[in-house]
Amino acid sequence: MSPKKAGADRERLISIGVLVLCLVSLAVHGGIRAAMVLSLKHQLKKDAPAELQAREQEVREDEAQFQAALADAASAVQEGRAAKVRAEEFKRRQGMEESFAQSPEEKRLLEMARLSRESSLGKVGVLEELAQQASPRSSGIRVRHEGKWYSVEVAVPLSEVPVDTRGGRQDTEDQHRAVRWTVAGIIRDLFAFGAAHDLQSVEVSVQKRVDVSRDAAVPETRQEYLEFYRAGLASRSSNPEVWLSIGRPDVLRMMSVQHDEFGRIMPRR
Amino acid sequence: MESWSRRMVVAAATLVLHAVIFLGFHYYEQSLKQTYARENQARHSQWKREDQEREKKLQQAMNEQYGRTPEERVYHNPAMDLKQLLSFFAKRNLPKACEAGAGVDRFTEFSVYLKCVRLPAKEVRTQYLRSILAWVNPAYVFQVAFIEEDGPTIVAEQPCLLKVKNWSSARDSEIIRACF
Repeated sequence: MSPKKAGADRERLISIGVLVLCLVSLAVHGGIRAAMVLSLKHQLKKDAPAELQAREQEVREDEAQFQAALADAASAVQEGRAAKVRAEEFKRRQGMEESFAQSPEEKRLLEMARLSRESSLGKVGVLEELAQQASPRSSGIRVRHEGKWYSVEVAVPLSEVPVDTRGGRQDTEDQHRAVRWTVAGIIRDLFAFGAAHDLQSVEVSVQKRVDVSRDAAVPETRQEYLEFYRAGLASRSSNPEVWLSIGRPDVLRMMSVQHDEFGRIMPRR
Repeated sequence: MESWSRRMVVAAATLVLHAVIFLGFHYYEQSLKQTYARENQARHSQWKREDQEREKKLQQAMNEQYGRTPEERVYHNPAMDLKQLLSFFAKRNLPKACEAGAGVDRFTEFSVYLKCVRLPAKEVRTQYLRSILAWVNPAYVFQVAFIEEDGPTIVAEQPCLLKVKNWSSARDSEIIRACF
């Protein structure tokens, strides 16, 4: 074999080698991509029925839950469950459950409950603190001790009695109502939290500060307190639950009114 | 030399074919994924619609289970607490030109107010009280206030509400005697 022919054969072999290499690389690349596409298709086809199945299961569970809820609703109506649930809610409210405390007034009552459990203040200290919490600000407070029992006197300035301001006009009757409710509220709150501290009686007066001139010739005036209303209640029930379940209307019926200027000056409707 | 250039052409053609294979399959894959995503989205939208319709039907069936009228449905539903109950009935039968609301303070003192441009007549107030207290136990209602804008307030307090034995059947005269 001539060296020229041998060189040509080698060249041809290299060319064939290169061609085969190119074809193989193309076949491998194409095969890999085709396998990837087939795998993707398979995955997508597999996902759809699985999702569908999960969905059907979800709908079946929803339907079962709903049927159970329907049956529950039917039995709730038959048993009068709503009324029982509301009675239970009212009872929990009477027990001043913390989750119901939304307003400043409710938070104040919780604070009074905390104070009533305070043992370091002594009975007089606790009753004084409770009376302060129960009364409008600037009220005068006196705690008296007679034997085993304690009594609290509260003097409320008329200007501090909260009057319902939702209406456009407040007249004597509105003010009278506000005074009665305030007094009943103080009495109830004090007994509710102070009864366990041997509180026997509570007396609340509502007073107005007026300028009084003794002598027309002397321009000097001095201030005096005119009592408009006074009511009190004596009780030896030390069960706070009894007092917590009592509403202000009940206290209004129970308390004895000793003095009522409003009743005298109130216009008849 | 000639064979070298031929090999170069083959190599170049192979590269081009690789690129074609890559791009072709890539495009196909993307289109498959898009089609699937579209189908999936359509399916989920349909399920969402079905869910909403089912939810509506279920809610309706549930409401019907509690009663035929809206009042019965609210009254018998244990999920409605006292404030929601009172608020519903306070706003249910509003007299003309009035607004109403319900609230609670001191834990147990539930109150309703009816605020009107002009204070409603006794008969209207009576009907309004009956429309609430026929459904809500008066032992839970601390007071119902009738408020006139720039005018007086009339309050029906709990002691008067409790005087009426049966609010559903009480006559107007009995309610007026007790509360107004």
